[in-house]
Amino acid sequence: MVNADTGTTVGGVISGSEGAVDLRTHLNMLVTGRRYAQLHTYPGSASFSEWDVATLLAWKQIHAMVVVGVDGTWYALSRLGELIASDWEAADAFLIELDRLERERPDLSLRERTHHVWLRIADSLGLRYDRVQRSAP
Amino acid sequence: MTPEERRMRVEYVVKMARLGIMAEPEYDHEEWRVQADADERAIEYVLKKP
Repeated sequence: MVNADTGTTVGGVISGSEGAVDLRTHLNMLVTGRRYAQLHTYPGSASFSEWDVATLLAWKQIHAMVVVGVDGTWYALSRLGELIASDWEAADAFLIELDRLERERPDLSLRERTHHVWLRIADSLGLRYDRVQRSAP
Repeated sequence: MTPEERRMRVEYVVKMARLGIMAEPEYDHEEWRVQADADERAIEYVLKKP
């Protein structure tokens, strides 16, 4: 976790097990009124999940979330303003669109599918979504 | 995923996210309902994971 205004890290690195990570140590250190960015890694290099967006929107101090894939791809999801969806609405919208895309584009990998989901729904949720890929050598 | 399955899934994910825990349940849908109704049990589950 990083203070989004000063760049100062908050707490140490939290290691999760497969499919589970407990963020409470960091979340308990967040100060009301300050903005933070949460960074984590994804071994599969996929984009954000329903877990990510629910966590981002459940904690008002978290302004942005960044995911780094092992293939060097970076994803960023951040609040655009005050008019944003709730954690529930965003997680629900993600799962609806993921389902729809699975039917429309079964050829897409999970990595690309999650990316396309966010391209489609981020704006309507009041979020900014970016993907930065390592350029070819 | 049916609308009911999605509702249960979202209920579980949001409840856990508000607790600050991301934990993929290795459960069937009925278990998700149990988890969503019992925060303490959900926390215990995460803490006991190897």
